[in-house]
Amino acid sequence: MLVSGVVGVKHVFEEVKCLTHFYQPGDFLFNTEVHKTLNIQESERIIYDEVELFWINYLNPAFKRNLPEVSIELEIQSSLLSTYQYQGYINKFGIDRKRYCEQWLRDNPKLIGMLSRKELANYFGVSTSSLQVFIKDSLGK
Amino acid sequence: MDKKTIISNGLVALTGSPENLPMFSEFSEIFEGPIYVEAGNKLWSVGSDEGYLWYVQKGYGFDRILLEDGTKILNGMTEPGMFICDEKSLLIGGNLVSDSTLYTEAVVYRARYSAYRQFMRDQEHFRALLSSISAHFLQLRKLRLLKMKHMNKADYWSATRNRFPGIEKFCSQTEIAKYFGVSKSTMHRLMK
Repeated sequence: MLVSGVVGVKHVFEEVKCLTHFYQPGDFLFNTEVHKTLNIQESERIIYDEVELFWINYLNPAFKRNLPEVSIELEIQSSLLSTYQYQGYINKFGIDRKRYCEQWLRDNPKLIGMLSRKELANYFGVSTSSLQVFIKDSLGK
Repeated sequence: MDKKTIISNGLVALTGSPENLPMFSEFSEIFEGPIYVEAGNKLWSVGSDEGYLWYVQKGYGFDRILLEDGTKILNGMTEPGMFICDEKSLLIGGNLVSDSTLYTEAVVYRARYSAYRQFMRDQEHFRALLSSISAHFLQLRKLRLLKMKHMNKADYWSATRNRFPGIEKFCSQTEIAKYFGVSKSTMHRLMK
């Protein structure tokens, strides 16, 4: 679980690196996202702002021995949650991309400063000219 | 083919396992069926308190999810060989927040969430496999997100129409637009 900082996730799609989402404080990160044999999109996590994390290896033999029921539940739930999280990213963009992007720009002033305009346009999946419109409409710049 | 063979074969295809493992047959035992469903019927509905994991042997359809703000959007397609369910209720409990409608005749099998969870608790080897199954589904979701954001929309529409011929008869243009992450006017132009 991310306690502080920002982690971005990039994947390779049609030979281009694409930014799809950010983990911010309170978010959970799961290894299935970068599964060593099934990571077809070559997903990687990039630290944008120094991070502090809590992590747990629920498959560690000592953890399994001491807290067997917790270990089992975490194993089942993490598998389900890692997939379910992505549905959330899809829904956010599907409902109303322009509204989502404009709200995101208003909510993330610090992060905007860490990304180039090209990266930001890539994250929103829009052209740089459309990004300019979003910035003007949401931030008045 | 019997239930065991059908569901086990589905797991072999899903996991890429070189052989049909005994635990696949054991997993198929928690399912009831075959259940024959006529075109136009629902597998599950929003608000229901009975959750099942479904395996689709035959049939096509769509599921729609009700979001917290009251918006209902197209969530995914149902195709043969898929395991489907209302994910939110399987994950955290509570009533179902999605609908699943079949648009062709279908043959399905179902397992209660409680049976699924008990099986996972009891079967350590299957739990290890579950991580790979999840990673497989996660790749599909990643791809959907990437296509939605970055794929040429005319190509995306063409690929979707090929995958599910007649999609425009079963889903409204607004629903399809949200599925593609574009405006209704852009979708209208693409569908012409």
